[in-house]
Amino acid sequence: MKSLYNYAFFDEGSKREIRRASLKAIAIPGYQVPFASREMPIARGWGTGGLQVTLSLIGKSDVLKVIDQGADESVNAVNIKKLVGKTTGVETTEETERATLIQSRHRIPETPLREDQVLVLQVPIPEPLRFVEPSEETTKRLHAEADYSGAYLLLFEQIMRYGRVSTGADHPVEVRDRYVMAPSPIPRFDNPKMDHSSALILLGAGREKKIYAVPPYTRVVSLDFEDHPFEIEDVTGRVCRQCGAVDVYFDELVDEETGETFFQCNDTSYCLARMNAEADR
Amino acid sequence: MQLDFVHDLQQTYRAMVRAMAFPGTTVDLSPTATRIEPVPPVNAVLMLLSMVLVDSEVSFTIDSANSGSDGRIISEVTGGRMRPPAEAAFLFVTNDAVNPIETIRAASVGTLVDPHLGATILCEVDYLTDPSGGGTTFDRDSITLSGPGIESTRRLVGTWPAEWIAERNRKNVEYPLGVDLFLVDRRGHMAALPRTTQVEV
Repeated sequence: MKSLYNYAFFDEGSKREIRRASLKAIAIPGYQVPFASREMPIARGWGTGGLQVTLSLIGKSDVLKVIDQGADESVNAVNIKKLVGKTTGVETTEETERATLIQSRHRIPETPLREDQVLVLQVPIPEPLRFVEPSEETTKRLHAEADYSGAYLLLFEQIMRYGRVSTGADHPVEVRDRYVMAPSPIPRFDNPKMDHSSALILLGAGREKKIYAVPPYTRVVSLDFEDHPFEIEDVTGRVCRQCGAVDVYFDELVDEETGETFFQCNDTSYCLARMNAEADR
Repeated sequence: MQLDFVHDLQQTYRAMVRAMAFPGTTVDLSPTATRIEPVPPVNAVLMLLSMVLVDSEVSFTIDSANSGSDGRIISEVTGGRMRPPAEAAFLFVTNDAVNPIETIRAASVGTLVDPHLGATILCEVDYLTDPSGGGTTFDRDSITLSGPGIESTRRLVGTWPAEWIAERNRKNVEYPLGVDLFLVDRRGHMAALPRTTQVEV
């Protein structure tokens, strides 16, 4: 394949810089390592952090899967897959089991990941204390001192106001009893999948220029209070209209003709695999 | 076949990611390292790792019997700057190092605000093996590892100067400050001990 670009888009120096940051990120779980964050051919805020991490990792033998909000075919996932595919020639897949490298926006797949897979998450705001403290210099000091009262304060205010924690996504976690970390805007439903995950999880924030990581088999605890324990979204009684799955994360949709609401797996490849297995039977 | 600076270094980096993510597992990098031409004066896998990590933006140091000429060669190949151990981001310590303990002791552990500035130390030892694959492991040093990347415990067996590991442990008493260690043996096997790994002798 004749390409006008270097393999995996980047020059080797850029890859080296991202690689140095990523290795330190794995060595210090949950700590945000600053990196240079290159200009990318897609806009910042559209997954450039995850994309840079993916491009620094990817090689000829990889099989790539890209997910956008649970879907392999939505615009962000398709664009990233095309860019990586055109500059590397690697095979892409929608099947979670077949992928060696999975880049995702806002979901961790329903299918449990393995030790030989790497999950890369796109992160818009990597700083869990940003909403209480706008200064980066100050938040870095708060991390240094492990002063996380601000993160608890945010949750406390939600409880005061609404009687419960109202984080829709990106519910903060504590990694290995030290760093409080933004898990990226995954639903609370996915937070427990980070705890003692079999696969390495790398998180990249392109606009904010940070790379951080959750190594495999690492303790990840969602922040909560004794009298307000952490809870995932309640999915009891919900069934996927397509494949009949229960205990997964759902999209709630409206049937335009009948006005009736129904549920469907948010993870489209998981749903499709279940329907195919049903059809084969 | 000559070393491919794009694909071979990518493969090497992935092996390093795996070693860091699963501390104590070993990987054989000799097939890639033997492609480096001309044959480097230092351990070929150490040379290979320097190509993945070092460039003109970072500094390194090397402690070997011929550190002056070895350092110049790493500098020529990678563009990295030679600095005293306390100022180096990457510290290479070979089997025939002159002051290995002093070199490791001098390494930066970073600061509480910037713990990622803690150094990466790359040591050449005699022999490393991951006993999970079976085989005889008698008459070797053995350490038991735990921490992130290790489900319960993992054993790393080999031959290395015990005081190197002891010095590494002393550098890592005040997490998140610390140093991250890559071990490379003479056959080209590599393992990593990030600062989070607890070592029991």
